[in-house]
Amino acid sequence: MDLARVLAADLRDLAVDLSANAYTRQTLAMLQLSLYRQVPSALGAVITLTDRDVPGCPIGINLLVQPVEPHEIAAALLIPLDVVEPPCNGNVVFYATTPTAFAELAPALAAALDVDPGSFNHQPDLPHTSVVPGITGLMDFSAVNRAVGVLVNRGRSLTAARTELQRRADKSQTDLPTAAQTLLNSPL
Amino acid sequence: MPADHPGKDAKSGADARGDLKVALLEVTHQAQAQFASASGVGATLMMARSPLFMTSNVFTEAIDIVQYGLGEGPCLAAVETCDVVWSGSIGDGEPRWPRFTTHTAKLGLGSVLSAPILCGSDAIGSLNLYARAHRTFDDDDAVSIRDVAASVSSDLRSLHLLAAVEVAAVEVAIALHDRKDVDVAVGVLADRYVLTPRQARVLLAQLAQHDGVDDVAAAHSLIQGDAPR
Repeated sequence: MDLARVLAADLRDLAVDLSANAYTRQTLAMLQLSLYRQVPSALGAVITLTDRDVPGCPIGINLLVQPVEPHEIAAALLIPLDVVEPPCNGNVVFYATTPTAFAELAPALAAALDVDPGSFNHQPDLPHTSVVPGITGLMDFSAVNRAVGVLVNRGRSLTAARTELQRRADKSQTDLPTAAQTLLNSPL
Repeated sequence: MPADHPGKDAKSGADARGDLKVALLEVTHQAQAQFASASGVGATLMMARSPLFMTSNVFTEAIDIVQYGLGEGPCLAAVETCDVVWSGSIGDGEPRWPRFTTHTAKLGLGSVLSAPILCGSDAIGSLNLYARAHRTFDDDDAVSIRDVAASVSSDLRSLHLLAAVEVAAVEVAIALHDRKDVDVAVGVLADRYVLTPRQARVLLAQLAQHDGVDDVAAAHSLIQGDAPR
């Protein structure tokens, strides 16, 4: 089963023209296929990752064949993710239409990993609106990093630039993407 | 004998890819004990970049390296057809997989028997017996290996899904990491030369081309060069 066309386009956007693109599409397609093989009633999976340098700007990869409405989701399974290098953390959530869809899979995963079945969350927060195939959060992620670049050009170290941006967000009682956009929109 | 494919790690509760290797190796040892006529056993799962395979000895590892390097052979045929595939005449008239037989006959392979590891109606990998002698395996072996492959599929397919999650997470993390550096560099250039983000992106690509590096390397160099220590 191929990735939805819109997701493929978003992946091109994520990777711009970077070398990770082709492999990224391939590995995500393999994940999607593996899920549908094991859970026939699966609606898809959502991978959420946050780069540790860019907190508050999670990127969501929605591996869905078609948009999913909240009422279609009868079962969900959340597995935490911790990517060591490059450092990111987050989770993957599987969605399915059948309430017992993960009844066999979850214990099997726990047994395979030799971990407590309770380490997987069967009742994650469910979406309140449609989940559409594609990538979310990219614009905020990009804005924050471009704002960091602006501060670097004005003499900050990378670390100091990130701290400065967070300070501006805190001072304005807003979030990091909004603080970044304010900086990008301000005159020199 | 592990066939290592080094890469960056993700942890989904634990190291799924590492556990998958251990589980595959265990399968080869169990099968080796069960099929005394086999000179070696291999267990393979199909992953996105390349097959992940573990083998019971160096002889078997050499054969699987040839097979997956060529993308041709009985184990891949078992995955493709979702059925048991066997030959007792490697290097002795076997007409299928001509490149595979040419190379592996020189390694001493005479017979092979491969059963798919199934997940539903699809094959996610294969369990493979290899022997130096010709016509080593018979119908009973074919039935037995199919049963063994079926018995190990439950644990392996769970791990296969976790490993697929892990690999996908790493790929996305790498793409994010690269994208982050490029965006920071775009911010530097846009601020320095009063450019739009698109113009700054084009300039970055030109700088990369000038230096003979890719855009990520150019971005990294620019950032490191600009940021005070």
